[in-house]
Amino acid sequence: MIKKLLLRIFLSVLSIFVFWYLESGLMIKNGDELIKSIIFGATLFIATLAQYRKYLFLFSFFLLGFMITFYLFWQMTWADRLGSLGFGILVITTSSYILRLLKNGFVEKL
Amino acid sequence: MQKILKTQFFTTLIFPFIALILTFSWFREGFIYGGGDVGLQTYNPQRIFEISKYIWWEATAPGVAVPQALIALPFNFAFSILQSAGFTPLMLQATFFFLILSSMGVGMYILLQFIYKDLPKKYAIFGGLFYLFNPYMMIQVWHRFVHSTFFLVAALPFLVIFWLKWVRGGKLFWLLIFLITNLLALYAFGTIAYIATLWLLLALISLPEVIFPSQQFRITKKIIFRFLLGFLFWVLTNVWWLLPLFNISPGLLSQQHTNEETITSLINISRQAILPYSLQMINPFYLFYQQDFGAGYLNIVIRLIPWLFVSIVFVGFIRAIKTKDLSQWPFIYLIVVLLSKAASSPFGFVYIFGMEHFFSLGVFRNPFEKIGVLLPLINTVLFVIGLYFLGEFLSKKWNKKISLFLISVTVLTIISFCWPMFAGKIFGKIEKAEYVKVPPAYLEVDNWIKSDLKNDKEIGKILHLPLTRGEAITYNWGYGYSGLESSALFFTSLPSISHGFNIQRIDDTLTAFYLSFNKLDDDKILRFLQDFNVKYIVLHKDVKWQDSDVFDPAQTEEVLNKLRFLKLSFKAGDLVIYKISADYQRPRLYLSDDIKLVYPPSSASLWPWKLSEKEILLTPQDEQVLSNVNIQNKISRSQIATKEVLIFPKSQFIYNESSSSALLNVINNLLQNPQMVNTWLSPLIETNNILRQNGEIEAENLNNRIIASTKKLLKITQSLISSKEINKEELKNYKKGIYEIFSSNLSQSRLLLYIGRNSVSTIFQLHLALLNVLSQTFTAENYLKENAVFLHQKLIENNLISKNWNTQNQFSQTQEVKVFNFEVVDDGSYEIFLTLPDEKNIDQEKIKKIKIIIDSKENKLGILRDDQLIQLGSDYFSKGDHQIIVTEYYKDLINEDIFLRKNNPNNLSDETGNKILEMNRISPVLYTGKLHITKPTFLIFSEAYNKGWQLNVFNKDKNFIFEQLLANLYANAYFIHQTGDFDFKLEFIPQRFVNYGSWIALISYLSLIIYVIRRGKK
Repeated sequence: MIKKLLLRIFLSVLSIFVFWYLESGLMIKNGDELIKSIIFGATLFIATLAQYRKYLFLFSFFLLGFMITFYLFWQMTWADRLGSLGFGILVITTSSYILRLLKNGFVEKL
Repeated sequence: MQKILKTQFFTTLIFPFIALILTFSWFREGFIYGGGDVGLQTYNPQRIFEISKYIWWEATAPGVAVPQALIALPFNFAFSILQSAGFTPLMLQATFFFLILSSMGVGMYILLQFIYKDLPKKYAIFGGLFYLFNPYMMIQVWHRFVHSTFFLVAALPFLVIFWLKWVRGGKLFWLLIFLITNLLALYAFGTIAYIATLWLLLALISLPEVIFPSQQFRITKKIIFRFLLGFLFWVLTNVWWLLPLFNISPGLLSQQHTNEETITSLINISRQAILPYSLQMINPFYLFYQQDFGAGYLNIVIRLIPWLFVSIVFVGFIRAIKTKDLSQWPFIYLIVVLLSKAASSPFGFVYIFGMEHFFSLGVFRNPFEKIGVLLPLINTVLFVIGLYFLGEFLSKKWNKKISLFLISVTVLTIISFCWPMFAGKIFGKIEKAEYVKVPPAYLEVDNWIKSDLKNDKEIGKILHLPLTRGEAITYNWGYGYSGLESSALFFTSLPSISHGFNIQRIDDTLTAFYLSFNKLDDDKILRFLQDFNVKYIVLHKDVKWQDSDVFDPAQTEEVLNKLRFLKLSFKAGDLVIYKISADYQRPRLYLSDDIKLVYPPSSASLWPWKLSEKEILLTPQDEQVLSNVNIQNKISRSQIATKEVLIFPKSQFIYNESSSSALLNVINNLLQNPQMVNTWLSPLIETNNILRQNGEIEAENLNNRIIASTKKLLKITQSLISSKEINKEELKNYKKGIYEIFSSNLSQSRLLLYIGRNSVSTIFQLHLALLNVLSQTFTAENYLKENAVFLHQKLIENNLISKNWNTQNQFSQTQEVKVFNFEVVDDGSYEIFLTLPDEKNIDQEKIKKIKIIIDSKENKLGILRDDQLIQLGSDYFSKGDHQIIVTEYYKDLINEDIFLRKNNPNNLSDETGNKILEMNRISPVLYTGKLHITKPTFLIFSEAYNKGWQLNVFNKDKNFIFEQLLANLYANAYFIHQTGDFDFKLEFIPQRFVNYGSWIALISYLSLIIYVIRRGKK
């Protein structure tokens, strides 16, 4: 159990660098990219725990909802920040269902 | 079954009906639409069909290879039939739009029923409507007016259905139908990137067939085999246009874009494709920044509408994951959104990495356009799944009628966002539609030329003045026109020289040609007209010349009216036709041995023309000069008298050469006050903000590297002075930094557009001076010397300092110098000339102060030769690279050229009996005829230079393929060094790819058809 947990933590930390590379090629421009990468790493960690996945979905939709609010008031920098964060979490969470999809072809319960 | 079919048929009629209403709304004023980078695609399909049958476009003179136009053949063929049947341009365009709109709706309706078996018909109709009316279709498809996109969006639903049927069932019939649909929609691949877009989608829909859920190996193998077989047949049936396209286009693309430009475009486009926009499928540039559809779209309520559909799409997203056979769509959606939003967050760096390292990915520099075209299809699928779920939910909660009512209102609200589509305000700006009404004078002039040619069979070209060297033009027509220059469509009997090609050599030559009409000089103008095989000149007084690269047509008219060899032949509207008297016309193919050699091939400027009278300007290509037997020697040996050899600089640049004392002063200051470094580098540091703002990511990186390397070198120096020991690791890092700076092609970098060559040069002169001083002080440290030598070499290669640069330079104070690099192809004595501007008073005293340094040797000035040139002296130049540096330049001459000239005194050619006995133009890509050659000569072919043009000269005994040179800085010349009577064949060889490819495609189609028929009978 602890071994599994440690492995998950290790992979999530490693993934931060992968996400950071995908965000900005491991460069820091305004700090956003590093914060996002850490959140994505944390998302990956949580997404490996089946019982919390649906909360990730909710969280990503919540962020996308905020994106709309900021967009409507022309706060594009914040809209983009929240939107990209929400969408990134959505991508990671959805991808975590791949094993189940490979097995059944669909997901019975999120 | 029949009943079902009937019902289905009548249901799908909804979409043609809507298409009909839209078409009537769009064309209610009775005008066609045109302009932009599309021009007038449906104005004259017969003419386009005639032109695009061949990949060499003779009609857009002086000719250009346009292999990608082959894909428009099926469309133009079909529409040319309608044109023959009496369809006007308006009827053609309306029919075209009607067909596209109908296919979109019907295709999506059928696709939705195909992939979602239980879907009620009304939801499939809602889906079809949403596919027709969504922000992407309104802005990116119709408003952008890109015809290739019209075809793709109309064909995609059908292509997906037929492909899935083939992959799932393995029946070749469906593959055949898929290929035929692809043929009908071939125009879509006019945007090359759409080939990848289509196959990306096909891969994305095929993969889940294998993995969701994972299938047995046997089934997986089958599906992979079908995918590959399908791809193979697609390639085989399209090889007739793929082969010439990929043979010619990479060369063309590299002439038009660099990696750095591509990345800058990508970054800027990515800012408009951030998720808040791309999720709604909106392009803010047209909708918000330019407000093409009015300021109403800035209203918060209107901006809320698209989020309605986005929310429903996300409901569909969750429903689809939980539904068997639909679970692939959310994944396809995520991938397509991630790819369409370009380099914006999240995970956008992949694009920048790809484009930095793979030039060909440049075709995707606008991913929202190139991959985003898949967004409407994927969004529609999820939208309908979500809508159906909501409908069912509402039915259970209330009742079916209320549910249907609410769903219908929602769909109508979403559709209402695209109201400009219904109102016919989709093309152009809301206040001004892009209507086009071509003045009747164009037809009159075309008919007059046609009738005139009945009595005069000699082929020639039509020159259109004013001559733009861009690809677009603006006319003062009734409704205006601003877009692709389309004279080749209006004037159908002869090729038109009417615009540039974005190919520098040709555009520069056309500029020289056009500028000759600026001044009344009969001989020069005639020379150009003859060299370009011009027969008629059409003066367009309707061109809106202000704010463009052309000058007032009235001014040109004055010149034209005075030329002795021109006759004003016809007038109609704002058009005036001049005809060149028959005695002065020169044929497209002719022989000449009256030549001047001009180097290098890239030296297209006005000067070679100014310096010659009637001689043919011949330019050997690089490989001919570099080969063991220099072509110039071959020409000399064949007793062709070359009158002159003109060598223009292969590159030139201006920079401030700092004096040693100035450099040492700066170094001392910086070492004493290290905090001054930022002040000294402030022009670069401050530029970073601008670079970031403009998306110049590569230039910004380069700028940062230059700043960092400068700081590093100063730090190394400080530690060296204080500790008397060199930190080799730091010096290694410095060299690595310098290597990185110069490996990114600094001399061509866009950074120089922002901070100027001079600033970069000054910084690196300081580096060099510092390294030289240190290496002289710490003589035991070879590292320092190595670094100095390395940097010195790189600065010379990148045109940042002259070869003559050294720390002990001869200048007592910093001064501006101009450096010319020459490549001399043959040893000999050359005169050196400086050109003079046309209309400036040159101060003789100031000219006398000019100094020149030839390969480190200072020379004295010569005398003023005439009003055009100053002879600076003469010198012996050996074969190879040479550098001439001009100092103490007279400012008025800063843009002038220096060139070398070798005069041949015995330059009179004997009269020869060389003749073209017969010449037949079989097609735009094939000329045949007979030659009588008594003495080596050149055959000049006045079409744009292209290596694809091959001259084959033969008789019963022998067959020769002669060397090809650049003639008159744009055309083809062939060095015929065999004597005798010959037949000749001049052919554009790449056209053969089309012919061979057509056979392969035909055989592939036929074999599939035969197989399907035989299988059907069994």
